[in-house]
Amino acid sequence: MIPVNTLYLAAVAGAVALVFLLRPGRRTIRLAAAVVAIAAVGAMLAAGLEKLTPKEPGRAVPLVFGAIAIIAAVRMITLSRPVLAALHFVLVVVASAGMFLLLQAEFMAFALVIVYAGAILITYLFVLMLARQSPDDASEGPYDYDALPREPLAACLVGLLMVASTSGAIVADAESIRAAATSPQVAAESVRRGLLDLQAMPRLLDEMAEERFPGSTGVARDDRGRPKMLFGPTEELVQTATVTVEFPDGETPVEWVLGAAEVPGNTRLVGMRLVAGFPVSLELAGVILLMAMYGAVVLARRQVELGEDERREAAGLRRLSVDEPETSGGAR
Amino acid sequence: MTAPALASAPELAASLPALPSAVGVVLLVSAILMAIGLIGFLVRRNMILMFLSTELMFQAAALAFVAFGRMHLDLSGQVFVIFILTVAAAEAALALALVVLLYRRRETLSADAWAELHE
Repeated sequence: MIPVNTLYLAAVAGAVALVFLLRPGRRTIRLAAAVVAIAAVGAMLAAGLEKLTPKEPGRAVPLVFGAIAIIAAVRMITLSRPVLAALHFVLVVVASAGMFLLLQAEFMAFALVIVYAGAILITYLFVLMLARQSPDDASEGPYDYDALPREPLAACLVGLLMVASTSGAIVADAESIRAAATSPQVAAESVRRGLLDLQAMPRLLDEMAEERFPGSTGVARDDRGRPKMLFGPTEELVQTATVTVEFPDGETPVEWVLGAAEVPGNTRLVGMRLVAGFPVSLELAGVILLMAMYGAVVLARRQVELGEDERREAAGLRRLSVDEPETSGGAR
Repeated sequence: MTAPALASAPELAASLPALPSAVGVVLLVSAILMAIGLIGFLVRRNMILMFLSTELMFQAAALAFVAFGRMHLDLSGQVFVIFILTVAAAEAALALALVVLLYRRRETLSADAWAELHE
């Protein structure tokens, strides 16, 4: 058992190495700092793995993605070329998408790659390229404001405090983190919610019944029009739901026991939870995006200086024949 | 049709999708990424990279949401990440428009060029 102190010691070593990585310095010093930083990240993740995960095969897989994400993030804040920094952020996003896949958030993993790496980062790259990259003479290197950090020591101290407090809180809660992911109660609750979501999608349930029992006309409804479901086996531990599949021409209906295998996939469930659970927030998100787009267009529009005559013409007034002092507002 | 037998707790845990252990490591990675994003925001002088560091912090928050959602097997965490993506996209559009506007005024991306604003 690795003591918690390993985590804090590694965090301190990583913060010191980060200070040297941020400062412009000699190549050897930076190389040594990079080695120390990588070792510190490895030690932190190994200590976390030891504390936070039950011993089982394949438990080191998330470490790979985590290490890629952290090293790319460090490169992002230490590289002096802005475009390279933005490209390293793409690497962070891709590694995060890998971790999302490990957490069974398939839809979010692909949405993240499409929206973040595909749209937001491309916008950043375009703006970086709109601004001048480096002085015209390539031998001069990057601009001072890209090469010189602002107060690296203080910033790393703040970062160290933050990572120490948050990771300390996570490690202090290691028992419940290890337990909750494998608790049968939580798993049964997840199956119950999935089956409840399925109950809210009667057409999908009818199609599934049709596929399973060819010739059936659908699933019996209760008096509120939803598919009638009997949850079981007990009130507390729900792993199945029983529905009645009906057939035409008075054939005897069949009882169909739905289990965890019939719970819809991640994308369907996320969509259901989003639309059924947060409809107003969804609408508001659309409004926010529209307003942001409108605001961006208004802000970034090139402002053309108009003379008094052009302004009067645009407002539908007659042109001035003689020079007149500007009176009304409207000037930017 | 008879009801299937009640699965025992280890069976049920084994029937869970693989790799539940990812939760703890991802939470730790999320904490480290959040700190790195904070350091980046404080250290960089380039306005675009300062905003990019805030995106890194968004990313860390999204990781924490999905990890906690996985821990409690509740999809609301993933739904919240969709809203985080929305806010990140809106923020990127507005912040970059502002940066373009500021760049046109001073011909530099340095945040220090606007230092007199804090007086």
